[in-house]
Amino acid sequence: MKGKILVIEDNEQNLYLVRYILEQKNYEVFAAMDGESGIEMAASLKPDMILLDIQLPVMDGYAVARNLRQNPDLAETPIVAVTSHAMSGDREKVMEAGCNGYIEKPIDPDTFVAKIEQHLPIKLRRE
Amino acid sequence: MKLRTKLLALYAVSTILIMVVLGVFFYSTLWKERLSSVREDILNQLQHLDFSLNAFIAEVESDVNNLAANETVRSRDDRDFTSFLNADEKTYKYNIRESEQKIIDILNNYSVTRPYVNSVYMGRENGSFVRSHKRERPTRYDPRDRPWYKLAKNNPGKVMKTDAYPSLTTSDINIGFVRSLVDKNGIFYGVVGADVTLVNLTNYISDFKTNPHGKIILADRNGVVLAGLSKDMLFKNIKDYSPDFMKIFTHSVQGFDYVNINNEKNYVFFINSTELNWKIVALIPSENIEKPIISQIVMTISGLAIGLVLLSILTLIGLNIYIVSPLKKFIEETDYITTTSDLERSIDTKSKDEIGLLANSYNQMIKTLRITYKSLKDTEIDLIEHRDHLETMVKDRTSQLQDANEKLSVEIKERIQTLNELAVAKERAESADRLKSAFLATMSHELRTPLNSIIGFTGIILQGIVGPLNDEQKKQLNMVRGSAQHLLSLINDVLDISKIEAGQMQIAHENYNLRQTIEKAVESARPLADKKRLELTCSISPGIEYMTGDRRRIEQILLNLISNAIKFTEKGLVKIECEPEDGKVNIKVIDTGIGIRDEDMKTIFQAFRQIDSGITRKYEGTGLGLSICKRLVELMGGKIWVTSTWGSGSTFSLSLPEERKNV
Repeated sequence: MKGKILVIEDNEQNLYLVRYILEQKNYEVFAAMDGESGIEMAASLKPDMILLDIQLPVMDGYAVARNLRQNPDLAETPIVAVTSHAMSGDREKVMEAGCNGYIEKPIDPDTFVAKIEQHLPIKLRRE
Repeated sequence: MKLRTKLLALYAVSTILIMVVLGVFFYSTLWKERLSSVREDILNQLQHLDFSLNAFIAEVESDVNNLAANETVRSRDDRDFTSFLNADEKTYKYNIRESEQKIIDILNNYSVTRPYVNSVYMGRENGSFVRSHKRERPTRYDPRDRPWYKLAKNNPGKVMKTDAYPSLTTSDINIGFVRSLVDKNGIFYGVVGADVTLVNLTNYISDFKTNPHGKIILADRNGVVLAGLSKDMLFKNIKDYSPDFMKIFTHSVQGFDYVNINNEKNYVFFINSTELNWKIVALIPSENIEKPIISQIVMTISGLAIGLVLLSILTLIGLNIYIVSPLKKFIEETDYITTTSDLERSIDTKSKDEIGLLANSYNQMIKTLRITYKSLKDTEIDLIEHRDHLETMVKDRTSQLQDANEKLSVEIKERIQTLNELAVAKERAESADRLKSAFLATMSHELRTPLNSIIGFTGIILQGIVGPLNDEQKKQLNMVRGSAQHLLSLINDVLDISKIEAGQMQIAHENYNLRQTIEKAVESARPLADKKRLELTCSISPGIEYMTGDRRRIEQILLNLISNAIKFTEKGLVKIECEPEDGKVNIKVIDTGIGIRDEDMKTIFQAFRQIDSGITRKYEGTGLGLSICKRLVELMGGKIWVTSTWGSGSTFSLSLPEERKNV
């Protein structure tokens, strides 16, 4: 069974990179380019995991995470922040906003999937 | 209260007090003294009476003795005497012989010459009896049965006195004085006696005046009244008169007491008559004793009171003349000064006493006041002048101050403006600082985003997923990836340096396991060591476990030092040691690499100072790593230093404060 992963990311190249890596592992990838459409998609799609960029236009990643957590359908959905914010305290802010994990950019294609799968139930991991 | 009133009150109170004290004193002492004097007086009179009584008794005894010694009376011849026993029983007439008549004449003669003698008589052992006067009627009479005869017979040789008894012939009370007749052979043959009537004794006593209102009472040892009271009390016991009298019989010889008669208090003074063993009692109503004493005391105290009052009046008059009136004059004068403020008057006085002295002092004082007042007036004028001058001075000074104040206001305004400008400048500087931080954060993000793509896609292509690569392609793509990663580490280091310099670097204080942190850093670096076939060892003291601090930064520092060591070592080993020392934890990274030249030791921890451009080419690095390490260690309160021998290796030492461990 394929896991559904929603990626919220405004940079096309990075989105392409992540989508490519995940689809190589047979995950079903959905993408949103900004926070609002990401929230809408998450509500209708009910993905198994959400990968969330923090530096987003209009509505930043912290606000998106908090908004997602208010939806009872998504209360247990793993949210992993993928961010280039390397300032100290960012990690704490991310976890406070409701994320389950934190991955710093630039991502390493060799280890990326293993890192996000820590937050997925075993039955939803790649086949 | 006026002085005069005060003195008057003082005198009245003290006079009353003195009178009360003296009254009590005089009353008690005078009373005792007068009473004792009266008592002595009366007892003396009673002694006198007793003495007279004794003299009287002695006279009677002497007479009886004389009669008993009379040869005619003493006749031993019983035949000369007719006996009543021999009288004719029908007529009871008996013949008196010549010799018998002689005796009767003697007896009669004695009786007549002594008015107090009632009868003189003689009885004899043959029962015959003669006496001074004739019998009024014929009767049988045996003297030997009579008590007086028995009394004399039983007490021969001296005159005996009978108890008082009522006379058989009269209603009077008699006492018999009797003496026995004893012949030369010592044989008793009769008794001679004389009866004394107490009517005469009573009269005698009544004549003896002790006190105009007093009574003298004679009572025998049993309390039977013998004389002194009314006739109906005669031969009655004195206690029938008043039971109180009994107490004087318990007194021994003489004394003084009180008795109540008909609820009236009476004084009794009494003595024991030595000859008769009778009580002689003077009975006087209390008022007759007390009245004179009281009047005497009252007289004494009244005299004293009058004296005291006179003294008080005289003293008061004196005080008024010599003190109060002069004082009034002083008051008038001071009142005058108070109302008029005129100091020109003085008090005239001729007296040389204290009042006079006071007047002189007063006059002197007024004179001094006058002088002082005048000088005060002068001073006041001076003061007014001075005040006017001062006002002018104050005005001048005020205008000067106003000028200065205005200048100061301008200056303050300028300063406030400067301060405002400074605040604006500061605000600008701070906002510039904030902008710098924001710029750095943005730059960091913006630089990483493209790097993310470069590194990511290079990785994917190198994985061979997209399509097979030849060796040259692989080599070149690896170079792209290496350059991208170097660029990333440069960005990271520049960001760290900027944060430290801006004071924005925050050091976490979390509990972490130092042993695990060291081991993790070592294991991260192991692939690099393996690649260069270097030995990489790690030796951690058993005591090193938990500490408080920033785990990620410690890891960063260790990784940096270990990477450096591997980077600059071509053969041999890299060794990590960790042990506690004196409240600190020491970590050493030892290598057998090229070492550091002495001249480079000083600058090795400065930014952008990778030693030797030749080396730079050979050993890639940003040149920021050691500088960041040093600053991070110092932020944590620790120290970092290096020891090295050129050509044979370096030792980087790290000393961290051991806040907590072994938790």
